[in-house]
Amino acid sequence: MNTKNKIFNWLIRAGLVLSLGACAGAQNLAPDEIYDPFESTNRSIHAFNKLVDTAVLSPVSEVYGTVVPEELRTVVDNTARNFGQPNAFINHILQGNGDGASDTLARFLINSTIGLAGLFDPAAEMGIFDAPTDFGETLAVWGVAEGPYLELPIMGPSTVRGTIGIAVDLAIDPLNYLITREQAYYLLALRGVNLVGKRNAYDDLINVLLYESADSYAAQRLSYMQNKRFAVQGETAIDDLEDPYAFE
Amino acid sequence: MPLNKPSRRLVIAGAAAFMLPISGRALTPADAQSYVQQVVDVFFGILASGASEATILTRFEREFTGYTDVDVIARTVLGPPYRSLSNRQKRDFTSAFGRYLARKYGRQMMQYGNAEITITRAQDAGRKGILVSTQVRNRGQSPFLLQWQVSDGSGQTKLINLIIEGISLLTTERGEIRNLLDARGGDVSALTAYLSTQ
Repeated sequence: MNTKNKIFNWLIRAGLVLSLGACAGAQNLAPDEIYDPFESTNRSIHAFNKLVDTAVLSPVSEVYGTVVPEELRTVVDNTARNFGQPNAFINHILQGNGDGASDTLARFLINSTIGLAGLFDPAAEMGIFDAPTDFGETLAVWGVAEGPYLELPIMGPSTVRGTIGIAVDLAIDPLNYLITREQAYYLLALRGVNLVGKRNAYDDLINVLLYESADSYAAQRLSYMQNKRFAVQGETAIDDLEDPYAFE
Repeated sequence: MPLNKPSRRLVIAGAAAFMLPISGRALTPADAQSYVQQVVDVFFGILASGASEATILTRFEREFTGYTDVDVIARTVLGPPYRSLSNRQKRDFTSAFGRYLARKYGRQMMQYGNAEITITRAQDAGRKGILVSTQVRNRGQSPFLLQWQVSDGSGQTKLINLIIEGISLLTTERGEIRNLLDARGGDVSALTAYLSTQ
């Protein structure tokens, strides 16, 4: 495919998604309400994910944290994040989020050049911080309801909207149209290593959630949903705050 | 008794006069901001002290329970079952819960002991108090938002909730305590015993 075809292809896919999103309606739940009609299936997948974490991800991440020096772990994290910027940029544009888009673009330009192809993060030193987003959040901005909660194998907590978002992100990520197949494998490997790095960096938080909660499925579901709704709103709504003194 | 009436009225008037300065001067965003600054200095001073984990957690527990309205958090998190407890059960649950909360959040905050914490905003939430936002920045990581809900609803300025990137302590612990209670067949004494071992 030549570049023109690639761009055309991308536009068609983006247009398709746009019309899809416009058809769906919105429905909002209270902060602690979660729609989980597939709970029993989700719980089975959760048990599987937990097993994978116990048997593979957690021990591997522990070795990773011990063997790989912190500086190198940061480099891996920076690089993986830099490769995610083009897709985040597209989604910020689709959301009409000018600040997010310009920060993301600035980060990508600065870190790809001064930051030596994304190995370092000089943009953060300049006060331009990462503003990650995805197509699931774009759908949310367009008014698509989150739909039922889903726990995905390996990838973990999501919703129907989030899962559609993951699939669409794979299709619209400009990087996929610019890199070769071989480069795509390297990128996948890098993202895999970074997953291990993230498991290592958030070790304490993940352990509390998965291994010290009364019900790790419910605890993870509640954390994910609160965090996702916050990310979509962009802030903590004053209206959603509690008045604990109201309960006598 | 005719004498009783004026004296009772006097007591009420006296009490009202005494309460006026408190209700008349509500907590302002600036007050809440300086309170949070003080809390941050104390909490993260302990967390970054370099002492052993056990020492840090003991000291953190003492400060955390001092700056936080553990009574109201314990009550709202346990919810309706709290109402049917005896005073002694309430006291025991509250103290075990405070310890559990302090140790759990102390351990999670420990890895941010050396982080840079900047107050970015203070919003008035009316009856719900003041929401103070801080940006927490650890070396080599993206900053995240940690929000402190501060209220003087008890008569004293205290923390009543912590919200980490949208994840609220009250909401999270309400879920956790409910699950722990269900697993013990609704027995609050068993829950209290479990929390005090955490």
